[in-house]
Amino acid sequence: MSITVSRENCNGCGLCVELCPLDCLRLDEENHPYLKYDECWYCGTCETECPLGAIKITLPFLVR
Amino acid sequence: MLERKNIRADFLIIGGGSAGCMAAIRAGELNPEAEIVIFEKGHIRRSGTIAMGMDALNVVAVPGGDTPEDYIASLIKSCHKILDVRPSYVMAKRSFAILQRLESWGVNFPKGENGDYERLQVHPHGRFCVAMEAPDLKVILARKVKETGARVYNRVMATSLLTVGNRVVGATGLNLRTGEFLVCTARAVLLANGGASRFGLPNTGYLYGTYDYPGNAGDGYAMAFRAGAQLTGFECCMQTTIIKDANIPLLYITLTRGGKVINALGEEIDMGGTVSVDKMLREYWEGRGPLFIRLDHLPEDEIRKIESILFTTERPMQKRFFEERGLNFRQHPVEIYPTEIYLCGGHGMTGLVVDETAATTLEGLFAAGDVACVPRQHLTGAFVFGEIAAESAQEFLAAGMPGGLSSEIEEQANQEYNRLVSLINNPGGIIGVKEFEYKVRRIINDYLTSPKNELKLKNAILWMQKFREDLPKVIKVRDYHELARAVEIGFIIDCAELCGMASLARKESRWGVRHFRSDYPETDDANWLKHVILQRGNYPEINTSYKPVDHKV
Repeated sequence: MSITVSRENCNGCGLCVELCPLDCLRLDEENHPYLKYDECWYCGTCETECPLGAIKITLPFLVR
Repeated sequence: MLERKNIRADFLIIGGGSAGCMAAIRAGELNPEAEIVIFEKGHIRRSGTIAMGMDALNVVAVPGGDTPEDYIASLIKSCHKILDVRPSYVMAKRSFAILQRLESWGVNFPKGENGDYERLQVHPHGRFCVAMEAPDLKVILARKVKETGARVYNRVMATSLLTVGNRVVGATGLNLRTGEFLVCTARAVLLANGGASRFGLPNTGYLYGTYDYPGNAGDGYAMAFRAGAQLTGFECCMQTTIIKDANIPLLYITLTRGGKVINALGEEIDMGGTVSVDKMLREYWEGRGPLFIRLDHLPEDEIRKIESILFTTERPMQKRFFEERGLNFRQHPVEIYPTEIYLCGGHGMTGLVVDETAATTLEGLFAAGDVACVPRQHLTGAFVFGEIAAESAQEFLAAGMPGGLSSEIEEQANQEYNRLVSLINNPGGIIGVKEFEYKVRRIINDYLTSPKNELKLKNAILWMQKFREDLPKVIKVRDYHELARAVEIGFIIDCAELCGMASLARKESRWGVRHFRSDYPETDDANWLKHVILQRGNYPEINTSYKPVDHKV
């Protein structure tokens, strides 16, 4: 289970962290989001809301 | 750590999803001066079951079409007669006004060439399901809530209700990022925090791969039970059939637009022109699964239309799942599978006992949406009863708070605060929250999923009592986020014990495989047209009573 973040596109605004319904995301030391908690429902909020299209959800291995 | 903050509200809304948002909006209209506070576990812009929108309003009596009376006749069938119809009737009567309200906010309800709404049949009789295109429904609701001036506390989950005797006077909340502990006193409280989606374990074994929104862990059920409210419908363990592994729904969207269901023998399942989950679950039960949905006989434009709904609204990641599996409706049947069991007052009938005013059995406490037992109310019920709760709460807003409040509240708040602190500072903590939750939910699968029998149900209850005792001793919590998860596991345990008790009490079988007792395999209308009502004794003791069903509107 993971998310892929484009380091070129992501400006570290943290909107995805702010909105993730299950509170899975946090920003790393370079201000890029990572999946801190393995609790993603693959709802799509982070991808839809990211204004720069910088984040992509990978479906959990158990599911895909 | 765990800083305390006291706040006051006229109207405290627990849960900023569909029901909670609508309640805040209505309360703001009725009394713009009222101080409205919302506790929201996620962020109100995208939270709850419809974070990514919804494709239909499942119960609408459109004027000129099927009537509220028709709806009740149909509902009695789909609930296998176990319901009090009055709240559902009130909901159906107000359903079209809700549609119009959403439309006035910019929600699109597609219309045919003749200008009529697209009405689909998903109930035993009548076309009450109205197609809606609303991927941003939650964003719209959040914007409307903001206009009311309500104070929204994002990332705050309620952990307990505060009571003075039979009166609810507030709630405690935990900020799952900062660890702040909120004590909110309120003149009226609305529980609108969903059902128990994290209940049974999905077939994938992935804790968060549930059918329904996994942020809902039965919080409202457990809090209300602990506070002394009456609950019902806990023996009706919901299950549906949806895309295997992804656990993403597609039935209504595909089957109302020409899709077919085929079993493992290649036979088409005849559902009589509607969508019958009972029939599909029966196919699995009798060994004719897996089932598949086929659309390859449909014209290209119809398939595209179906895909455009499935891939944009509610669970848009379905598209990625299809791509990764190499699935395409044009060539492949798509395998569907029974979900884990879950408890829900919106799809099913588990919830707080409420009347048509959204009042619970505790004074000053209202309930709306999936946490309330208004059987099969779906999104329409969340909206209508959100409005009704706000209307009913007005009389409490005008009245004063009960006397002698502060010392009792202080004591309850202290107790809850100490409970949370001891969970996070647990010297004996050796089991992580994931492992603990996994075991609880595995036992739910083992002993609460049909076929049920007395021995299994008693085992479930014993396990839950042991889990309740063990959790504070062994749980290892590393931060506030995990503390919130530990609190949720406590909610799941309570819900599972309630489910075990209710399932044990109903000595018959009903609702197909949702409550099948191998020791009482027949449906017994002569003795069991009644509700199983649960209420706490000396916590965690559960008292059981019965109430006849009421089919009079």
